[in-house]
Amino acid sequence: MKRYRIVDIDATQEGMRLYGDLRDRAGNLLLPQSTVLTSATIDALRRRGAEVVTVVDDTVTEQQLAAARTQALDRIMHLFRDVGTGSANALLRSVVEAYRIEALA
Amino acid sequence: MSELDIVQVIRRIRDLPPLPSIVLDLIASFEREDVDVAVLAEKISRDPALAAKMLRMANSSFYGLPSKVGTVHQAITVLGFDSARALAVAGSVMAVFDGAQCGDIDIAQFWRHSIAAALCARGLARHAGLAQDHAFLAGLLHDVGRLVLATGFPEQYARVVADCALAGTTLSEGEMRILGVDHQHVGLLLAAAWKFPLPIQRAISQHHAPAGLDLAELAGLIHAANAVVQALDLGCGEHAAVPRLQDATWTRLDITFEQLLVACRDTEAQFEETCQLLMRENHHA
Repeated sequence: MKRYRIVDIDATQEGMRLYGDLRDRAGNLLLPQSTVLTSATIDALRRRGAEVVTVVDDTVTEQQLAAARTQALDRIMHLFRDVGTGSANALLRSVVEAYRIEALA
Repeated sequence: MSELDIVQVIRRIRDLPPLPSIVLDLIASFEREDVDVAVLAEKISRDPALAAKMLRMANSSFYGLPSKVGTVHQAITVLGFDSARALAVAGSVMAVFDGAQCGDIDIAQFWRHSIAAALCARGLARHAGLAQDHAFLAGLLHDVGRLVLATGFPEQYARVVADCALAGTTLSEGEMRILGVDHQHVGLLLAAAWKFPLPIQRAISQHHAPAGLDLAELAGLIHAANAVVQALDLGCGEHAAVPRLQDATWTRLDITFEQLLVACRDTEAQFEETCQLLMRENHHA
């Protein structure tokens, strides 16, 4: 389960919304997160050499996302089952939880 | 009673297929200040398998450019010499074990975990101010001793795996109990035989329990990267479990919450493509 999907540049359509910032290979910002694609921006991206675009997957429901978040946190709990109470593992766990939740927000 | 003595392990290492001499040259160049990139590129060009591998890496979409890279010189320009060297050494080391029979160890899964650790170590190294190509190779090779043991002594190693499952202990504990030697030590012997730089050797031999100064060096970094990729569930299989970290890990490496988050993102983003890049060649060999 993911909040986004990766679409080939030739399969992009007007109205699709960017999931994250879109950057070229040198790291330069082409379009910011949440930009709604138009035929003009799609043409511009193609000219800049973009091959794929990560867009928000609107078919995913809030209930599906909530279930996926619960599943992700359960898996993390399982993975951290033998770590004890140390601070380094606690930090790692909080980072991985934030990372997984962010992708399913 | 131990089932192996160290002489058998050393003999096993000596009997592994040799690394091509150009790869040994590349490894030796890690510790030289006066590396002549043109000479090394010329030598790589004369090794068709390695040259093909480098061109494929430079032409992959991850590093890709609009026009195709056709020579080793161009490939080194695209990848950067440090990165090109690390990838070439990585692919060659992996090829040594290609086709080896290794009983209960899933060799593809082994390399997937190792590649994840390599990518994560490289990402963390950027934040910790350590050499990124050294970190990549140390991550890739941190468990290589396990592969030496599993391919060289499959029956004994199957007993280690079974014993660990029964007793609920770690593989390192099982290796010591049954074989009398663990994969950290065997990995060190192999890395020393191939003359990897000392920090890489030390990272391989100390990644489970680095202490003191090692915590801020490659050994501490690999200790951390190994835990991060287990936490991300990358290439670790159904029995994945995050190991206990030394509490000083993040403070000694000076890595923050935000930097760790970036390392998670970057590792996952590069994972599948790097696996394809490094493992496809070996599947076809």
